[in-house]
Amino acid sequence: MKTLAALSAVGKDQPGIVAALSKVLFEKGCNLEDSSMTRLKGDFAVLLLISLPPGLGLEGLQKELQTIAGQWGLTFSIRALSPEEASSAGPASLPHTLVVYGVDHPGIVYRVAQEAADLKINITDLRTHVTQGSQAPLYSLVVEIEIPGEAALQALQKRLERLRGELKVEITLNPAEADEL
Amino acid sequence: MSVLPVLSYPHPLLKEKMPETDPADPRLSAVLEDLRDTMARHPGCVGLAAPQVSHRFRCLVVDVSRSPRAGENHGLLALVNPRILEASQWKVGREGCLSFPDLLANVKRAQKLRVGAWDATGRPLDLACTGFEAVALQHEIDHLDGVLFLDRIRSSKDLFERKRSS
Repeated sequence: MKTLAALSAVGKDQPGIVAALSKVLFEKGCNLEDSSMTRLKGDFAVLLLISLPPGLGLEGLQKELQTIAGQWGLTFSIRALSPEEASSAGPASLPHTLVVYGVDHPGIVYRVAQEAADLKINITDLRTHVTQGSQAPLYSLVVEIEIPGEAALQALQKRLERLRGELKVEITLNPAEADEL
Repeated sequence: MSVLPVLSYPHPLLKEKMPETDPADPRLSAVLEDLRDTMARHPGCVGLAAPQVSHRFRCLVVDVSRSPRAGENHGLLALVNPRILEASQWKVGREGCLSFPDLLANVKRAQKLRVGAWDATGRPLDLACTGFEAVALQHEIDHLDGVLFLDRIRSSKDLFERKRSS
């Protein structure tokens, strides 16, 4: 069974970060199994799930990464995934997308995320945008969630209804259906 | 003729469902004229619904011929109490909205649409629309129900900030 590792790195954005990181991984014979990389204002953030070739331990990789991180000003961490983590498909769930938008104020993400956490609803992706509104900045939040079952879905709908009034934001919950084109 | 300010979110009227409008209402022609004039003032705007210009009426204008990506279309449409009779051929496309000047979103819309409505003179209409015109009509009809395009997002990757050059 192949060894899987999770790698995260963040640092001041500049051209060449992705090339430098992926070059090391390529030269060490690693595969990129999954990745998410994005720029947040001036910083660049990298999340990678990599598989290591037979014979390569985490230590061997770590040294090379340390050098690259030093050169490019990145803070990084890497950890091996246990076989259970690596093979976990997760429990069956109802995938949904939650859209929240309204006048920007502190606590929107926290309140929404806490409601989800209380119901054992898992957040699998979250993006936020702050844009110009008519009077004040507009905050929009899109969250992809996995709801463990029908009861949790109904409970979430009830809680969101209350949150809508409390936070004075719009909230919609849509099933995340696949597109059939 | 009047060009009216376009409401942007979070104006509460944008989340309100508009009541059915009497096609014989004497104020209607002025409302539709306001919509046409206001749309004409915004380059790239291909549709506007009454609540966007503070009119509590169930009517809208659409004119996709103003866009280079128009496709087949009816030119300027002014519709009262429009309702979707048939919708098919669903496809995801990117949309903007004057009421959210800085956001774009991928939204799934029918590419084939049959819409029933009344025209500006109170005559019943039955329109078959396709492509961009069908999409624009669905976006504007949503406005009459207080539904905004952000409410239709299905993935966290479907919301974008509009990049402005100026």
